[in-house]
Amino acid sequence: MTSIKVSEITKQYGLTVALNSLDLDISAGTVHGVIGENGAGKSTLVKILSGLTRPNRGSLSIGGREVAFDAPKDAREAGVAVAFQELSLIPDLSVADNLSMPNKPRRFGWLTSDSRSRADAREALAEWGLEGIDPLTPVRALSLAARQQVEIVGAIARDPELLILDEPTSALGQAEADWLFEQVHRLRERGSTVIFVSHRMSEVRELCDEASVLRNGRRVGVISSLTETSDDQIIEMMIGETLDRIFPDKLPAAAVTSDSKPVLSARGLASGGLRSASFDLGQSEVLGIAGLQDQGQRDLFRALFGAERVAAGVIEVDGEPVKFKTPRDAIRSGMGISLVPEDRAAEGALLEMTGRANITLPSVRRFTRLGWIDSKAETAAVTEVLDRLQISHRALYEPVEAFSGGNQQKMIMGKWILSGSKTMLLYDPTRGVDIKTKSEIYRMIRDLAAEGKSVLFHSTDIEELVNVCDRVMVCYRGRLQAPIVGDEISSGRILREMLGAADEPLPAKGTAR
Amino acid sequence: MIQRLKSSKAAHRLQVAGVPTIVPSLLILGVLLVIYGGVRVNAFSTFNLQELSNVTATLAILAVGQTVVVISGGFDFSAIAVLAFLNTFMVTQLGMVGDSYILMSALVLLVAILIGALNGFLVGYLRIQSIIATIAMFFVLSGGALAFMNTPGGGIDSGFTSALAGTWGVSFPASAGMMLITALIWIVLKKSRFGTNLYAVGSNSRAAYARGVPVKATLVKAYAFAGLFYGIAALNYTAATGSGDPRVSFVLLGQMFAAVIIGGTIFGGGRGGAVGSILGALSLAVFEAILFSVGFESYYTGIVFGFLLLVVVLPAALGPHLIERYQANRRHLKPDPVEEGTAL
Repeated sequence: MTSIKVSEITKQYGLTVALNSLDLDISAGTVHGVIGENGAGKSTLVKILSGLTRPNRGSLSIGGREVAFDAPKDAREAGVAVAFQELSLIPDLSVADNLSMPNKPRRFGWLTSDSRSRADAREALAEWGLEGIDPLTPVRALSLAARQQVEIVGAIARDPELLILDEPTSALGQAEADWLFEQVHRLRERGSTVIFVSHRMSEVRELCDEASVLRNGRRVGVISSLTETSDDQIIEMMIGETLDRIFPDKLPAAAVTSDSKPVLSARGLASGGLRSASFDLGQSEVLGIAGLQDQGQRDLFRALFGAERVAAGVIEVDGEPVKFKTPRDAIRSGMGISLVPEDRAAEGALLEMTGRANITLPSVRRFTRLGWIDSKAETAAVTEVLDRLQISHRALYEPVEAFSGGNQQKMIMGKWILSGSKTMLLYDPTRGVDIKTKSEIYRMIRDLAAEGKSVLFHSTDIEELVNVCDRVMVCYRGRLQAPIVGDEISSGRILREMLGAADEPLPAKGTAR
Repeated sequence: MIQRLKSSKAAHRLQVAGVPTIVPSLLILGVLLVIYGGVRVNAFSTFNLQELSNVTATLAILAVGQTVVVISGGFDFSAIAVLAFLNTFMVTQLGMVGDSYILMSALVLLVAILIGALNGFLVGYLRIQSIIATIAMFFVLSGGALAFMNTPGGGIDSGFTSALAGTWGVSFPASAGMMLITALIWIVLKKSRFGTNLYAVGSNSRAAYARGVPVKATLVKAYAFAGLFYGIAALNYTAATGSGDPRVSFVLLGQMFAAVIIGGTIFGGGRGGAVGSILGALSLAVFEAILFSVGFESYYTGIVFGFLLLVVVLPAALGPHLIERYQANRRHLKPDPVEEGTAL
């Protein structure tokens, strides 16, 4: 029996504080849930406990012994086993090789024994209820759900003192999730301590003895009796008091009426992880798209921008069906769909080129005469955009990489403003941006809407969606849910849909609502 | 359905055993051998087979070394410079070991391993991209070869030549023996824990790290073993040519990578095997013999060879993409029942 104590652990990535003096106490032999919004610090906590990263400050003790992990190997040796969300399986190796790695059984001292490794794997798979998986199968050939199960068995089968399950059900169906719960109960009976990181409240209720709620890298609450705490109370803890943020005034929602023709629509759109999305975006409307990580919203944006193949369904611009084969088609289409990508360094900006070149990139045709760029006209246009966005005129000649993340983001939006895009696809534009720039971006979004443009706006920050959008739709497990409108738009309502609390039946012992 | 399940299971078994990477290269070699048998008189005479083995050996053994690096997820451009360096080192520095060929051979292998380990240190610990690190080493070593001797020349004992480039027994070519030894060393490596770690690091080094695999040490070992194979190739090369030559051969560089590709090892890491690379090298030799036999001007062999290479890699390049597209289409083929019901 092993108790876990995390004391005042702080982890910073540059200016971002991922964990801020976090404390956790987990009693021996219990299953402890860790819940929180995106960016609350859950995954950083998992990384520290598994030895993938070292905290800047603070200490960690397992069973009363203080430990410090320099590498995953150290954590393994201390009896910590982790089933990672992103899976630590090697796709090109067999299930057996993955399970035995890096200590594959040997004979004659040096040669590894495939037969023993296979027998061990078969035994472990059978013991933990996965008889159906052939240990010789390469992991690459397994379904995503089976891979996740193998990842979990790989951790469980080592009989760990501490088992960490990081979003273990993200790829599992109901039957596989039930399988997981059964195995975790068995493991607890053997005396292991389990940390269960999840955003699905019903699962935390079903599985955990206690739960900690994280927000902004701190623990904001411990729920010692999950049966006596309602979903609403937990959601309130996750959101916290609304911070005083400077949000612009929203125009009265009445400005968007149903009789105006939608400028952009999708019907049953499927692409990559997106299974089905239908929506209408009206003129002058800001439509929010909410969703936890990997619920399909990224593929929705990429498909609308022509960057991802559409597998089914249609996209309509001004009521006409369109087909975007490449982003170039999307930009050129009458609508001018524009994407501010999630990772601006990789997909959004040419960091070594000047702000001027970046801003005029999609519209440079307008400033050319006989193939030569008319730099006077270009300068005038760029200056206007820079002034509007309150960016220093340095951007006329300095490379984008010389500017802060917030200013880079503004320049990316500026290039689409200049190109005359009528529809803006904004994918988490305020990520990693300081608070002042954030409020400028909100204002810009509302200004664009006021000018008659339309905005599809995804954010991981629910408050932003509540305060900036006219309507909000939630992406959950690849499906876009019905829009939330008017006074219905609240962080509680959105988060509830994001967590699937609205449609997932609560377990019998749950007393919420 | 059951039939299909069974056959795919069998395929998995083969795949795990490392066979299917060899199957395509065996097929290619087989087809080429049939053509060769058709166009050449006495194609499979002892003499001709010995000849094939002799012209293949250096390339095949170099390709085995390169394969280890490619499986680890890198590229090693220093290989041919290592060959020239060790060749000139051997010819000029014999005096150092009192003209003992046995000691000299051991020394060559040791130096080869050290050079490889240095490559591995640059890539694993200093995190320099393998292409850059090994090109830098390429310059250093080809310069070193010129320092040992600035023109081709020198000579070695004919006993050494007949031991490593002659025949063992009556007619078994020593070059074939060296290829077999190389293949054996590789098979033992592959069966060791290092072998599993090598594939793991090349397939997904982050996941391997999270599983507790010593990633850096594995990379150092991968390049060091590659060095060992280059060393064996250098012994064979020196014995076969009987002299020293400081010039590096870029044709050999291209052929080495071609042999790896034809052998079924995929650039990017994690998949493939060195036995295939030996078959790939043999295929190249047979192919050249065919062109020679039909009287093809040797200037043009490069053109034909280049196109052949493209044809060989095309299925590997396009296949996964096409399969993915097909699967993506199938996944979404059925319209979503929920959505149909609620369509606006």
